[in-house]
Amino acid sequence: MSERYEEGVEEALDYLREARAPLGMQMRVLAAVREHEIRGSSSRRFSVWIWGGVAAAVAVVVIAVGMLEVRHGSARVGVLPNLTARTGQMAGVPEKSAPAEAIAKPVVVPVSGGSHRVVRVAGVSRVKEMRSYPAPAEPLTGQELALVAIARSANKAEFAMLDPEQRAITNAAEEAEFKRFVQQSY
Amino acid sequence: MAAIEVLGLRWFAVEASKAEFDVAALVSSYSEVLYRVAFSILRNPTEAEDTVQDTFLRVVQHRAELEAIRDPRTWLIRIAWNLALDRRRKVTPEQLDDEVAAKMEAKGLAADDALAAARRMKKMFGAIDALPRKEREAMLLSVIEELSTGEIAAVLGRSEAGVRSLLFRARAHLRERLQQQDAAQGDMR
Repeated sequence: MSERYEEGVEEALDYLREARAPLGMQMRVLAAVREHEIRGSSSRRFSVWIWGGVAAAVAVVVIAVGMLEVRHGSARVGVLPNLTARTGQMAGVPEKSAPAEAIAKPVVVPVSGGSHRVVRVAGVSRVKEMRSYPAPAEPLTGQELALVAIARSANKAEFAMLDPEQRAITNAAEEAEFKRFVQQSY
Repeated sequence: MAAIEVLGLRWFAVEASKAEFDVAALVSSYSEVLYRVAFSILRNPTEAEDTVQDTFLRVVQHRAELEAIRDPRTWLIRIAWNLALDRRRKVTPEQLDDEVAAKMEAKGLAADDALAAARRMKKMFGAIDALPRKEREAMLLSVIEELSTGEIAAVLGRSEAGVRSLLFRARAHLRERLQQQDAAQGDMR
C-alpha cells in the first residue's frame, strides 16, 4: 500500500525532473535581453537630455528670480522716504483708495554723498508693498476712551454737552435762571 | 556639446556590449536549470520560459551588482524561484497541468494509459500543492538534480539539516494525505 503511494509520488516528481527547456529558449531569452538593453540605453540617453534641459530651465528661472529680487530691493529703497513725506498721512498707514496709476511716477531718492537719484517705481508693486505691511492698531487715547464710554452709556444730556454750541446755550440758560433766582431772593 | 554626446554614446555602447556578453554567458550556463526551477512550481512550459526570461531581465537591471555576487548560480536560482512563486499566484489551476497527458503520450504510452497516468499525476500534484509551504518548496527544489542540499538550503534560507527534516516530513505528510484521500473515496463508494 505504502509502496504504491511512493511510486505515485516518484512518478509525479520524475515528470518534473525530466522537464527540459523548449528548443530555442536561449535564443529567445537573449533576444529579449538585447531588446531590453537597446530600449534601456535609448531611454537613458533620452533621460540624460531631458534632465539636462530641466536643470538648464531651473537655472534660468533661479537667475531670473534673483535678478528680479535685486531690482525690487532697489525699488523699495526709493519708496520709503516718499511715504513719510506725504502730507497729512501717518507713516505706514495704508492708503486704501489710492489708484495704482496715481502712484506710478518717478521718485527722487537721496543717496549717500549728498546727491539724488531718480527711481521709477511701479504702482502695482507699491500698492502690494503697502498692503503687505498694514499699520498696527494703536491704543485709544483718554479722550477717545471717554467718548466711547459716553456713547455706550446713552445719556442724552451728557452726550449733548459734547456739542460746544449746545453747551453754551445750556450754560447761558442756567446762568440766567441763577440770576433770576438771586433777584427774587432780594 | 557634440563631444559630450559622442562620449555618452560610446559609454552606453561599451556598457551595453559588456552587459550583453555577461548575460549571454549566464544564459548559456544557467538557463536550463532555471527553467527546471520555474517548471517545478509552474508546471507549464510557457510560463516557465517567461520566468527564465524575466530572471535574465532582472540580471540586466542589476548588472552593477553582478561583480559583487560570490555565487551567481544560487543568486539566479533564488531570483527565478521568487519570480516563479509570484507568477504562480496569477496562474489558474487549469493552466498548470494541461500538457501532462500530451507528454505522457509523447513518452510512448497509449492514449488511454496516458490519460490515466495524467489523472494519477494530477492527483499527486494536488496532494503536493496541499502540503505546508516550506515542505512543498523543499520537495519541489529537491526534484532538481543539479541542486545540492546546500543550494536548496540557501534558496529557502534554512540550514541543510533543516532542509533534510523538511523533506522527511513532506514525504510523511504526503503519504498520510494520499491514504486519507483513498479512504474517503472508498467510503463514498
